Amino acid sequence: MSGADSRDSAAKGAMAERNGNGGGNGNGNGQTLARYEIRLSGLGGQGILTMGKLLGQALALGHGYYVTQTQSYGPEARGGASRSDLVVSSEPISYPKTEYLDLLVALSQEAAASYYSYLKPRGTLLVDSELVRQSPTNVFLGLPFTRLAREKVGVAQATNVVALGAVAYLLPFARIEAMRKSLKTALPEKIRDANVKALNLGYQEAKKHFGQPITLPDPAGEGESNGVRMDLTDIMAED
Amino acid sequence: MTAPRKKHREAFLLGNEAVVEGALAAGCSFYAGYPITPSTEIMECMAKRLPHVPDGVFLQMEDEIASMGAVIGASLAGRKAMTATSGPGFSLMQEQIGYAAMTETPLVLVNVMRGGASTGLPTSPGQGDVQQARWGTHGDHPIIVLSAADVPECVEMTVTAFNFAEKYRTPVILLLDEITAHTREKIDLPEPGDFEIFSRLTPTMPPEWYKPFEETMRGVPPMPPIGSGYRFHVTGLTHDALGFPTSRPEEVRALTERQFRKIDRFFEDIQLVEHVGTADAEVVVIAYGCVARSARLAVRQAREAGVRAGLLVLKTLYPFPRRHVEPLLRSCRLAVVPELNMGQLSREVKRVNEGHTVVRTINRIDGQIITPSQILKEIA
Repeated sequence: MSGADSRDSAAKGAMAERNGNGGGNGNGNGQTLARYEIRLSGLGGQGILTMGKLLGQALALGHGYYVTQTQSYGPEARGGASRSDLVVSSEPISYPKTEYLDLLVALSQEAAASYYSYLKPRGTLLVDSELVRQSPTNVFLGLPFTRLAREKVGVAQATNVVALGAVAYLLPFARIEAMRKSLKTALPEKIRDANVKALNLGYQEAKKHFGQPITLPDPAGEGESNGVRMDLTDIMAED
Repeated sequence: MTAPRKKHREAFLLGNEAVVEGALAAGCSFYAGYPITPSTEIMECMAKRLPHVPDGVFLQMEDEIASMGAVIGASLAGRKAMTATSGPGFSLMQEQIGYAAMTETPLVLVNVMRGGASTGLPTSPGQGDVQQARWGTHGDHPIIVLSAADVPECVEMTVTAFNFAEKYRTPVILLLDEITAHTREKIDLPEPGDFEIFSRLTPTMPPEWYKPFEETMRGVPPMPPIGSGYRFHVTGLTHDALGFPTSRPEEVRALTERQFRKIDRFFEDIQLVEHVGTADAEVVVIAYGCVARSARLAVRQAREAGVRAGLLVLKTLYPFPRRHVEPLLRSCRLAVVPELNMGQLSREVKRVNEGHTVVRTINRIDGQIITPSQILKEIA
């Protein structure tokens, strides 16, 4: 009963693992992961749910993790808030939704503002730097995903996949080949090439601008704030 | 239920898509429906898959009333048939659920529960159709209501739904919720032989000896496909052993009693639950559907905090599994029933409680899931 599901031990487990691995990039195959929570958010029509499916499929089938991908959207066909939550773990996942986020991807100003408060201390915020004009924090990563998609891929609809490429780079346990494979199996033939191009573009841009993939926090500096914020009875995520 | 595992193909599927995998594994070859959020993926997926199934038939009907009619007809003609819907569509189907129960027609109806009454919250989860699933159609009738909490369970419980429908000649309602239906998880795609599959008994006697609604040992009469040479009259009116209308009190009573008995006698087979740490529990959480997943985490956290908590996951909602619930109500000092409605299954728990313990409810009706921490607060 070591509670791989509780966020508390999730953080510890992940940290221990990072220490052992020394923060290498991308080579995540077989890396033990307790509970890593990701939220992809933006507006209806931006392809948030597709992005969640592609990422989840890659992590579940390509990497062998347990993944739950849930979604939340309004009744509108376009516009309105849209988000997809993923929980990634080496062990079976009970609660399928997220409580506090390790990674938040926001493709709209509204999304960045509403979900920022769910980030864990030292969680990562990744935004579309042109759509999110005012980041709720100074500590964030940004790339102009929509502009990159429009100008370099030639299809604005590939925004989500450009962002997915950046996520593939940032997640220390993800492998870009598995993402590519997920893309190829999930998307219809005629849009495949443009999307693979978009994925590679996002990956390369992230590598160029962000330097290192996410390093999970050092346990020494984190223990106390963790203790306060992660008191189990205090959690009241309003998901 | 599962045989030894062979090599399986993995897939990352929605709960709704997993329902289709389960249905096809169970031998479903007929689907008629009308799309409605959040059940639509079941229909879309069936439209893709059924044309590749031998003799597979997929029909988009003009509404939910017609859908149920088509499903009943297909089943009487010998098919394993299903439909899927959500709240408003489920209401439209009620009349014919009664027809299926009265004519003892096997079928599976998946109802993906969304929030609110009427059109309500189409894209949000709810669990407000629990009592409707049991009592939505008028008159005394037996029915089986099942639920599933995660994607692998969507496969398993859909197979179970078909098996129960065929074994007991009854409509079976599988209640999912928007979260279970719209969560993607990895599953092993079912292979032939993974599940034990039941099909309805067909008559073996010469056609002239056959009486369609005759009393049998199990209370479940054999059922020939219409058109196979056995004379088979079907009516929603109370009928005699030959299937023709009757109002003679002894025949009416015999029919209704047999219809109840065929389910009652097999409670042990039908009432499916999962016990998680209930053996030494002082506090028990009784949950189903997506809320059972929150409860699983909450109970684990409570254990870590030193509370002897346990979880009873109900996979069968009706007939209400009181044999599993009652002993826990006697042995625990507190029972907590979290659900996404104003208190529908907790009614049943309170009904069988009879003063043994304290029953506390957690009710959430704002279109959001009950979080593990909400449950933890009540039990820790």
